[in-house]
Formats: sequence, C-alpha cells, structure tokens
Amino acid sequence: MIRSSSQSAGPNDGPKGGFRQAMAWLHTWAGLTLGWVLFLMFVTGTAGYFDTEIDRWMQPELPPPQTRLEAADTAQTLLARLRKEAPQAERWFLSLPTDRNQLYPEVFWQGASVDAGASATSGSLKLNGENGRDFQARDTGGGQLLYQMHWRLHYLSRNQADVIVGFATLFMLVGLVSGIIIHKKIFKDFFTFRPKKGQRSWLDAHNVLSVLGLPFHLMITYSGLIFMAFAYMPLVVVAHYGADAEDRSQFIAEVFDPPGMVDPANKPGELVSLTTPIASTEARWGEGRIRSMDIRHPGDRNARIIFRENIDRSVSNSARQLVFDGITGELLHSVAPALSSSKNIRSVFIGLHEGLFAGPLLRWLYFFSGLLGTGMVATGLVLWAAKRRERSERKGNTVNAGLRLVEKLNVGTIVGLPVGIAAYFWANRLLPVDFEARAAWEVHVLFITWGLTLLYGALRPIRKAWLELMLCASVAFALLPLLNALTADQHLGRTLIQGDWALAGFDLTMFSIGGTWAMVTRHLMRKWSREPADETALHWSELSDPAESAK
Amino acid sequence: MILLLSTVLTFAGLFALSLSMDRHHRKVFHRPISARARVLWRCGGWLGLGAALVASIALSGWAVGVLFWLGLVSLAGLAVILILAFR
Repeated sequence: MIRSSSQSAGPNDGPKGGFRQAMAWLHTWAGLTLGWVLFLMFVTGTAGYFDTEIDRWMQPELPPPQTRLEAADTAQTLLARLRKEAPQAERWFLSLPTDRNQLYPEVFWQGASVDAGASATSGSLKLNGENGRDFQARDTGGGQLLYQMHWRLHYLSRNQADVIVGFATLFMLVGLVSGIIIHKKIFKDFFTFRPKKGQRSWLDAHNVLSVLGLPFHLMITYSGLIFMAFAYMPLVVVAHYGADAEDRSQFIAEVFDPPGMVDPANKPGELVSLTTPIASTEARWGEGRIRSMDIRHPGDRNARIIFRENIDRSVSNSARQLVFDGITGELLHSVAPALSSSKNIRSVFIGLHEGLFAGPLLRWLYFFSGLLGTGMVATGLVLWAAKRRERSERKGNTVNAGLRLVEKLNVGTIVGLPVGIAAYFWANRLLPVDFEARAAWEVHVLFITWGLTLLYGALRPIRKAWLELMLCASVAFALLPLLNALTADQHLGRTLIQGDWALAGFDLTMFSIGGTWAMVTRHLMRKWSREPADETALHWSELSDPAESAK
Repeated sequence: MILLLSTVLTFAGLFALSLSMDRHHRKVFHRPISARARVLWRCGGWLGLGAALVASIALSGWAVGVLFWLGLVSLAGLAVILILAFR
C-alpha cells in the first residue's frame, strides 16, 4: 500500500505527505469495501443495547418482568423443571431475573440423557417464575436476534461469520487510526459542520460523527477484537494446550471456571437443597444479588454449585463467585471477580463493549454512541460516492459503472437495511401467531425486504431511489406504534399510563425514527427540487475549489 | 439533579470552547475574537467540562462516571455543532 502511494505521490510530496496519502488511500478503500458490513454491524449492535426491551415488545403476551421474585422459591421451581426436562445432565444452569438484563427466570442444560427422559441433550427455556411453566407467547427471535446478528451475521456459520466480522473489525480499527492520521484538524474542526456545501458537508459530517464518538468507536472496535481473540488467534491456545476439541475445552475451563472444579465421581449422590446455600450467599452479597446458579454434575457425588453475583455494579463483566459442594452444601471457595490482571483487563473491555452494567441513562448514551458509529460509516460511504460523482461531473464524464454500483449499494443498504428491520417488526405482528416457522420467517422477511430495497435502488434513478425508500422507512417506522395498538394490549395508551418505559420507549423510539426519516426526506425533496440533476455538476464544481470550501 | 447539572455543564463547557475559536465566535458575535476573550472562553469551557466530570464521578463513581461524561460530551457536542450550523 505504501508503495502504490509513493508512485502516485509525485516528487514534490515530502515523506509526510506520502505517508498521509498512503493512509488516505487505505482509509478510503478499506472503508469502502467493508463499509456495508460495518453498517450492518453498527445498526444491529446498536439495536442490541435495547435487546431485552425489544424482546418484550416482540412477545406482547408476556406478563410484566419478574425481577422481584424471591431467590429460594424461584430456584426450587426452576430445579423441579430441570429434573423433569434434563435428567442426568452434566450441567444445569439457573438464571434468576435480576434487572433489565434478565427479565424472567431461565434455565439451560448440557449433556442430558435422552434415554433417561430428557427432552433434548441440551437446551434452554424461559420460564414463568411464579409457576415454573412455559410462557404462552409467540415464537420470535426478538431483540436477541438483532443483537446476535451484529457478530453472527445470521445465515452464516460461526466460522464464516468469525472470519468476516474479524476482518471487518480489524479494518474498522485500521480505519479509525488512519482516519485520525489523515484528519489534520481534529481540534480546529471539532465543532465545524458546514451544511449545503455538497461534498464538503459530507466530509464535515463524517468528521464530526467520527470525532465526537471517537472514544466509543475506539473502545467498541478494540473490545470487539478482544472479545473474539480466542477465535482470531487460536494458535496461542494450540501451542500451550494442543489442537483437539478436548484441549480447547480444557483451556476454556481453566480460564473461565472458578478454582476447585472436579470431574464427576460417577457415583450417585443426592443434590443438596438450594435453600441453605442461597441463604448464606444472600447473607454475603445481599438480597436479590444472585444472578445465576451453575450446577456441575447434578446427581453425582462430586456435584458443585457455582453462585455468580449480578454484574450491575462494575464495568467488568466478571462477578464474584461462591462455590458450594453439591452434596453437603458446604462452602468450598469464595472467588474474587478478578483472578489475574490480564483476565481482568479482558473482563473490563468486554464489560465496556456489552454495557450490561449501564442503567437507563447510560444505556441511552450507549445507544446514541452506536448511532454516531452508524452515521460515521454511512457518511463515509456516501462521501466516497459524492466525491467521485462530483469529480466525474466536473470533468463532464459520464458516471462510471463502479460509482453507480456503490451509489446503488449505498441507498439499498443505508435505507434498505433499516427498512428491513422495520419489516422484521411488522412480520412479528402480521405473521400468524401459531405459524410453525414464524420465528425463522420474521428474519427471512428482514432479509427479503432488504434484498427488495437493494433491487429497487438498483432499478430506480438514484435520487428517486433515496427519496422513495426513505419515505418507505418513514412510514414503516412511524406506524409501528399503531400496529402495536392494533395487534396487542400493551400499546402507548396503557404503557404511558402504567409508566412501563421499556415498552412505551420502544413505540416512541420507533415513531421518532420514522419522524427523522420523514424530516430527512422532506429536506432532500426540497433541496433536489430546487436544483435539478443536471445543475448539480455546476453546484458541486463551485465548491470543489479549495479556496471556496475553506471559507 | 446532579445529572441535570452535569448535562448543563457539559453543554455550556463545549459551547464556550466553540466560542473560543475564531470561526464560531465570528458567527455568533459577528466580530473577530480578542486575545483576552479567547482565553476567557477557553478557561470557562474547560472549567465547565471539568466540573461536569467531577459531578458525573460524584454521581456514579469513577468508572461509570467517566463513561457517562464521555457519552454526555458526544451528545452535547452534537447539539453544539447543530446549533452553530443551523441557528
């Protein structure tokens, strides 16, 4: 890359100019090639900061959150269900509802015996904490699916997604660093946004969104890489543990399990009642502080129960743990959240990335920062096209095929993906509740809609495509509260009065997003009606004069 | 209450910092900035941001307080930029 730039830099450019130019080249092309994937990651990741709120909206049949249940009773209810659902399992995991991160009790299990009557070898269930039964609610991927999409990319296998997401994240970091290098006036232009100046305005917008959110962008990108470090640098583990799956699980166990875990004795033993360990744990941590109970080898003489504390009080995502003997109920270990400094650094970065500790206001700031990142990627993509369209129109050339392609992908992604997400919410309410494959089809609707918008953007003249698709986005988002009112009980008329801000917040946010699309559409409609397409060449060429744009 | 204070201080601090720059000062006051005014706006701006940081930390502790403040700076910064651009 350096070499290619030194060819184009010319003899008069000093080494500094050459370096900057190389960085500009890298920034431009890495940004363009990965921009659309990054846009998807930013949009769905940002939505993911409200995953459980979206979950609730998408299952309107659910009762109010059960975050005030009594721990011992709930544990007993969940355990009874696990005994029935997953006999002879290697692991039972009970999550207690603590706060917005876990609204209802949940269990999962691994290594159960189907011969002994288990419903599946491994599985998970969200349960009604009051009676231990399943919720009667529609099947949906919910907000979890949007959140998962930002790193699993939905249709791809784990390995494929890891490669693409890893590559995109790495080049996101490259984009940030090269962006800082080529942005000469970070402080001088900190507050500068000059509207109505074509390409210059897009550059200003790109700079402002990038610089304002820079701490967040750097944090989210770097921590994203740390998150996946074991997947991206597998050889480090292989070198010390070996290449087999078994070696890998040994490594995972050593890193993540508390000390004192033992293999099963393969002799039966009666699991102790959880009441006493829960009481002694709550005596140490306080009532309602238990997030989960992780039972290893239940029914074996070597059973162990790991209690984990809620993580709402620290940025780090690792919590205090207590390990009990599963037979005698004796407390074996009390484990601090940070076992080593390197693990602690990892936990803090992952905690920062996930933001599970964030209360409502900080959560909104996370969401807002995510939007800044989304805007950064979107303006970068638009800038690439605006710059080249201006150049080709100034020269009187026809717009080349590459530019056309980018413009079409831009409109089909920057507007099309949000329209797809709105369609996902519409599908949630319009697909029949008892339709077997409804959860899968909700997502299919998202991607089919996105595909259609891409097609529409490809077939329409570019300005018409922007306006019409944005109009579509305005309507699709703004009408969601109405759709909710027509298809469920928990509409704004109720949620606002009950003060249920999670559900009311969803409706209000969707309405605001629709309103924002509408405002942008109106703005562009006026702007473009004043300057018909053939005049833009003149308009943009005026502004491309550096003396003019510096004013 | 502290939260509101922190938000207002962040916004005021950033606005003052923007006014310490000739380009924005001209736009608001229609005249070039004097050397003294520059120093005053700048000091006032940093004082406001610093006070907002202290208030955030007092409210939510070191780790979360700093994060909260950074988020506020992004939000208030965007508000200042939009006001300067479209007022």
